Amino acid sequence: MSEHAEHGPQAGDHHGPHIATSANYLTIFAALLFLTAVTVWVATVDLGVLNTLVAMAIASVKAILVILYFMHLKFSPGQTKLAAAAAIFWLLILLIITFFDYIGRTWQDNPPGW
Amino acid sequence: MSVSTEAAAHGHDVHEGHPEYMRHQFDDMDQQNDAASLGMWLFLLTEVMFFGGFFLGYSIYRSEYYDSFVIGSQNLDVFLGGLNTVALITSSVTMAFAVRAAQLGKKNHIIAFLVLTLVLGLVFMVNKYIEYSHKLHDGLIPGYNFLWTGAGDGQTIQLFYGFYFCMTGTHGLHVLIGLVLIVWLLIRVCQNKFTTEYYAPIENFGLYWHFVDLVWIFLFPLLYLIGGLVV
Repeated sequence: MSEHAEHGPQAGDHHGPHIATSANYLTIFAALLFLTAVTVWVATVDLGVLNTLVAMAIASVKAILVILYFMHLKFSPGQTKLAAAAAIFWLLILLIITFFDYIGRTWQDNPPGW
Repeated sequence: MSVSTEAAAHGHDVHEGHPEYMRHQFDDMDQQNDAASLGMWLFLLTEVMFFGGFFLGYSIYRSEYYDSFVIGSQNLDVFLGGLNTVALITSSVTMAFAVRAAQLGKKNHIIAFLVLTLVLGLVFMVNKYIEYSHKLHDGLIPGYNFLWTGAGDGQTIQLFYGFYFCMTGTHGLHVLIGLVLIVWLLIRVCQNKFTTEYYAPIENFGLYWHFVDLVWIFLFPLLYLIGGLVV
């Protein structure tokens, strides 16, 4: 353990936690509530296919706000950002590749007697 | 190694030159906290994949049986769903404030914000209970008492309810586990286990709680608001 003591704190080595202001959290809170209201309101307007896209876009903005500010990702070290990016990357692989499979497949009728 | 033979006899319970909550393998608390945070994010990565499977299955069957999903969705209670969205978002804010209080070392504030988070989580679960009992009463539990008497194809509407119960059920289980963990955190706070240097359990639980909020942010429009809201 004494080896550690010899190192001592190095200048610039200690970043410490990022402490956000109350105002910052309350602003994000207001934005999240506003976007929730927008999501419900926009569902009453018939936009056709766009309804789903708009709903998902709003949900994504809300998610980004929560991840960056509530989960402090904006102020986290590189390896944490990498882990978060990996999560989104693998999720997109799961969704996109499976969807291309479904779109690209020819469905055949069941053989007679099924 | 400057560990004395007497101390060495006690195995690893030696905390020479550093506080009890700091593990031997770390240089300083910053490094330990970063490692703890990274571990939590990696766990959340696996959670993303876990819920990702549900979202994938949902998306495929929704594109296949869109009309049935619209009918099923419009039969859900948007008011209760919206109320739960607000409850979870608010609980995320109170949780963020609890972590902030921990960073500032304000014990009373930690307790107050954790209790608020607990109460809002309970509001969510009570609403969920009300919704589930209505569905049970209306005979809409897939594979148990599902009987669709309205317009549309009952079989594929049942599929929508299968996704509804699997996704909200797994999410609800996460909320329930979260509530138990909040109680555990409250006990630890009251035992003065945390300092402004060591509050990783509170912070990492916060990450988990925000993740549960994130899942709901996507579940709400996907389950409750398909195909237009009739007002």
